[in-house]
Amino acid sequence: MAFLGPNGAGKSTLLNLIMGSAKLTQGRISVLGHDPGSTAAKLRTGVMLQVTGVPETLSVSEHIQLFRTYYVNSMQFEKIIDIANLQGLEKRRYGSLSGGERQKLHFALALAGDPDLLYLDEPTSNMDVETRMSLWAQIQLFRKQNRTVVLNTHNLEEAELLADRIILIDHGKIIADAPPPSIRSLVGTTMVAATTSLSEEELSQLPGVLRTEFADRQIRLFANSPEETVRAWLDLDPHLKNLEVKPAQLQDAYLHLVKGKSA
Amino acid sequence: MNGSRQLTRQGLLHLLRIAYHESKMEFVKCLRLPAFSVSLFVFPIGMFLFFGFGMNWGPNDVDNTLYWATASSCMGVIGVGLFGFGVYVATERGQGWLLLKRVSPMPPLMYFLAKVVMSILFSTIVVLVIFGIALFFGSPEVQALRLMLICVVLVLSTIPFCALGLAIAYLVGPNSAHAVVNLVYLPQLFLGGIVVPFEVLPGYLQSVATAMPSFHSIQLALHAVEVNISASAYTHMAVLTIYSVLFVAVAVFFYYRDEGKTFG
Repeated sequence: MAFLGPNGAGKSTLLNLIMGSAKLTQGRISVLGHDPGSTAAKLRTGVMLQVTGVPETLSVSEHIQLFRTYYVNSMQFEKIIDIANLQGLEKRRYGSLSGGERQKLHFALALAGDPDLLYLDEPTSNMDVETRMSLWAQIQLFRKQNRTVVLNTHNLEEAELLADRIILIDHGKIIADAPPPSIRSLVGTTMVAATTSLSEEELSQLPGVLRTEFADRQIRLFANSPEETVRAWLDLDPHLKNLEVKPAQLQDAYLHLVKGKSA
Repeated sequence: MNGSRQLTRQGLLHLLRIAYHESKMEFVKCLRLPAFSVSLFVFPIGMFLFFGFGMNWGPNDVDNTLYWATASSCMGVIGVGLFGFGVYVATERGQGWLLLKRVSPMPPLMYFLAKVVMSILFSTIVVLVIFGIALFFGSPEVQALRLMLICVVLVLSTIPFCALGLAIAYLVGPNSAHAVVNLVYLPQLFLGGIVVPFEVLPGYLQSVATAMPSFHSIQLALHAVEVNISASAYTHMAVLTIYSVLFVAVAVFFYYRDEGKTFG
């Protein structure tokens, strides 16, 4: 499950509430049947935060072994190293790790208690593509073991890949709660662009058009079934030029959705 | 009944295991930071080498080397408590790392306990090194048992200064803790009868000195050296205990006030 939303949407606040670091003013939260922040909940939860100030003089294995002692039923050391893909780095001190390797260790620390619930807060922000792909693969590996993974992200691609349920939030409100394909179809998966003599209002009446946008003297239409849209557009405007049909930039599309709903 | 007792015993063992590992890692972590460990050792050992041999500036009724070994150790212990513990906790409080520790099932008390254990170990090293030098290069006439008592008293007086450091760490922001600790540290040394022996202080400063925790910790240690200067050892112990409780209470109050708040 992924909480998706732009910066300031309320994802981190939600995380703090679920972890018991912040107190609820109303309503109720239950974590695996326990109160948020209770030891019972903490023992079954692993958390990966965007942390600073990690002790640099301790080695990868010292960090992991220390976190393992916090849990009654911890995950085997070798298994953690394996899932987090830290082979060969066990003896290295935190201070000498690269950014990506550090993120892997943060992930490993979240695994230490063999958690039923894994909470990841922006796990791949500031990561290069290769490390990001590798961490995604590791998270998927963990998911296959029938565990729940909750993800905070502003990256739609990440949410789509790792979650089978996306909750779109902005300004503390849920905008959508659906499986990834439905979220996609909400924003339109294809972009059709052309120079045309039709007005924006006429274009928005075309079949299948979800939204329109002007850019670079072109008009862009977003739709899920571009064939019928294009057919109707060509029928209405015989002078249409520079026709392009491309997959929509999902990132922009979802940002538009967030802005549209909260405005 | 039996089952629940079994459970409690397991729980206790689990806690002891956390305490042991957390303390060990805390100590290893700090020992590997030369800037941290060396700075805690250099000043007190330096002061001892400066005053301990030759310069007869200590009280008349006690061996000069022994007096300065005690005073320098006291200085070291105060430094460990205020800088090694206090400033360190304040710095970590400003970083996300502590937040991750807080959402883990480690009881928060273990975090502080480990740091107290680390501080006591550092104090032990400072005290042993200074008294080691004193015995090796000087020739203070002191019984082995008494020497042990002096060292134990000195090492234990780390605790009130950890408490003071903790109070400062939670009272002021992470960025100002270092400055505030400096403001507190120097008067402890100069007005508490450590760098300047109590007898040498002018009368009006002597009354200020008696309000300093450092005064009571050095006087208590000097009691162990068998120099009776002021009120009885029990009074010093009581004052140090009251100070510790007070400082911890302040820290606990502010700890709960900023629960969930980070500065990162």
